[in-house]
Amino acid sequence: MADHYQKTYSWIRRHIILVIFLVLSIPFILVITIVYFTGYQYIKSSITQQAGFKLADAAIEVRSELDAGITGLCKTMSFLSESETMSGLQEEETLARIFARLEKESGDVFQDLAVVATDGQVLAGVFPYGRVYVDFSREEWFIGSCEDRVVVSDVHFDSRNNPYFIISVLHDHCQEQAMLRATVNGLWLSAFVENVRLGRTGEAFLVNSKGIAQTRSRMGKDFGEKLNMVFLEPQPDGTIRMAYHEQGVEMLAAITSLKSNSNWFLVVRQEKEEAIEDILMVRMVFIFGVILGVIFIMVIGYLTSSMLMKKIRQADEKKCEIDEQLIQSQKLAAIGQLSSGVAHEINNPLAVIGEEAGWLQDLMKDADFKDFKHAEEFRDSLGAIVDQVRRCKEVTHKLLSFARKMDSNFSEVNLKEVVDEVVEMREQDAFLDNITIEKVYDKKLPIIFSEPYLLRQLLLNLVNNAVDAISKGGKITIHARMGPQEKVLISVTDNGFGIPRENLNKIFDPFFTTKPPGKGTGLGLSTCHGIITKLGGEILVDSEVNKGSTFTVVLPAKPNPGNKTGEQAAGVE
Amino acid sequence: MQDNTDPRILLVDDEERFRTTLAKRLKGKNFEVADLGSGNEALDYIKDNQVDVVVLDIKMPGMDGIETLGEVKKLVPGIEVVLLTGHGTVETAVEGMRDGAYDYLMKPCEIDELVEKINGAFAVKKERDLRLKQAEDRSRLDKLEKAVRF
Ligand SMILES: [Mg+2]
Repeated sequence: MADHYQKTYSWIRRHIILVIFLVLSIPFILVITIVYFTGYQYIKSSITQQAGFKLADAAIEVRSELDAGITGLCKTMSFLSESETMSGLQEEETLARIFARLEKESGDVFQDLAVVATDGQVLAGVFPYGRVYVDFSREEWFIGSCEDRVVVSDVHFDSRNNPYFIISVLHDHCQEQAMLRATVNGLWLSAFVENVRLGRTGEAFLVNSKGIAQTRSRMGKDFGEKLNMVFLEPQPDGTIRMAYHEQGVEMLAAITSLKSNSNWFLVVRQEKEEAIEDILMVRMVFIFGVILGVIFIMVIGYLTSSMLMKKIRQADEKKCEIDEQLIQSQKLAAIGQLSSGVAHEINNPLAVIGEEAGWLQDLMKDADFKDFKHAEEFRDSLGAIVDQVRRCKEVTHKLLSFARKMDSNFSEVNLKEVVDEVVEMREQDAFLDNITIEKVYDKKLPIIFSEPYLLRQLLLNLVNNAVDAISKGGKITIHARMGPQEKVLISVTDNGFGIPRENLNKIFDPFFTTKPPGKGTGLGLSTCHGIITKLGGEILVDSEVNKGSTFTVVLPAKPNPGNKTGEQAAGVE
Repeated sequence: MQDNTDPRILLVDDEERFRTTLAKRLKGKNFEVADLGSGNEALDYIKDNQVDVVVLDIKMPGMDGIETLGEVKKLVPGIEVVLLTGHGTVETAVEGMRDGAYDYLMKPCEIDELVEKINGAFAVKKERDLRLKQAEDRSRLDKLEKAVRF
């Protein structure tokens, strides 16, 4: 019905959707932003912190192992050197015995052993690897040894590129000083850290204060590799926790210096992404929440706009319907006024014409006219005039009764009786045209409160119409039943020629008729409309060409306090 | 006394041509007809003349049919009135009948119908007049009887 509103509808729809999206999205985005910058970031930083603790724990554990190992070596050497005299140490045999004992206690760790005088001269030595040393006075460890009793050197490489480091213990015996110097296999040191496993990317290695790797690592660091590391202030537990980038990958690391060699730092590190992979779950929940929210907004937006559109459409349709009804009744009222005026004005001259013609007819009966040659023609003509006046009279009377203020005398009406009466009135004529009239009543048909005379006239008009719609042979069904909301429905169905679609909205107009001139006034259905308005009901039409029509009268079963609605359609006196 | 006389009709209608022609036609049907154009004239007329049936148009300028009917009934209660409604207000006509009119007809009317109604009205009047006369006779007789007894 409201197809021409389609543009407006899509405009309204777009705006509703836009407004709903804005209204829902702005707080949603706000909430998401707040959650992201507070909750999410808080969780992320705490997870990062946890990962840092984990690395630090691992670092402390590895450090204590390393310290224990290195300190063990140092202690063994101290113990051995203390148990011998200086001169005894300088004997190759004694030294060889000590070396053998070291080898026995520590396995393949010691590579050679030497006694070095305070000026750096080698006093005695066991060199199974074939290294021969003469003067150590320039070496780093030696310079350190002059100050400390026990020195552990950085890792160096021998001529075959094997890593080693040096432990030197000061032998202090009755003013005589010398150093017991041992070379320790670098691989032994590396074994402590190489096997440290932390997830997929976690590793541990030793580095000295200059950033040079002292061990290999699981992820491919090698001895002597120069690492670009910056050391920060240590934490209270002696570890430094830091995050840094290495080749574009963010790393999380815990660094701690060894107690046995303060120049060495143990680095335990892991790729940050892996270290804080617990955040992935949180992130997924967050993203899931966002997606869910977006879907929710879309669904709500769609549903709300659809619902609103439906309501608007219904309201519009209702309004159109009411407008149409209003126009219809206004039209009928106007036509009623006009036609009653015209009918009245025509009625008097018509009466005069009728009387004049009648008078002439009276005169024609006189004997004087027996010889009048055109007497027959005169009589015929006058007869025609009288007939036509009668026809006009019928029209004006119908017009006047259409426009007349209808007498309303509401009372209890037995619908079944009224229908029976009406059908009885028309049954005989219908039978002659081979039309059967069937009556169908619901079992529980109430006694309604209505105006019996008008109701009878209404039904009679409808039955007449149905009979007229069927040329010869057909069936009319009158079905009276209880409808919803205290309404009674009476439908008159015929299987006649139906009403074309383009005529459907004109059939209630006065003077609209498809019958040949003189056969119908076109006032039947408009009278019906007037009556039904008066009775406070409505009339519905359903018709299909060549299939038939159904006129359904909807009447209130109970008295309606406002049933004066028909007054304006009832015309003037 | 009136038994064999023609009914005396007074035709009142503002439409002159209708009135005069109808009067002529009614005369042709053996009525004694007078025709007048307004209610006032009609009232004056019945004061001075014997009338059996008044055929009265409802819609008239000045005094309308219903008013005239009331006055007529007040002046001469014995007169029967047939109303002509040019305008299909059945209520007005019915109201008129409540006020004492014999019947009503819708204009334009068939002459036969009108004649029928007039005859009906006349018969009613005649019958009432007859009873009136009998009652009068009876009361005269009663008086006479009383006088004789004394
Ligand atoms: Mg008039």
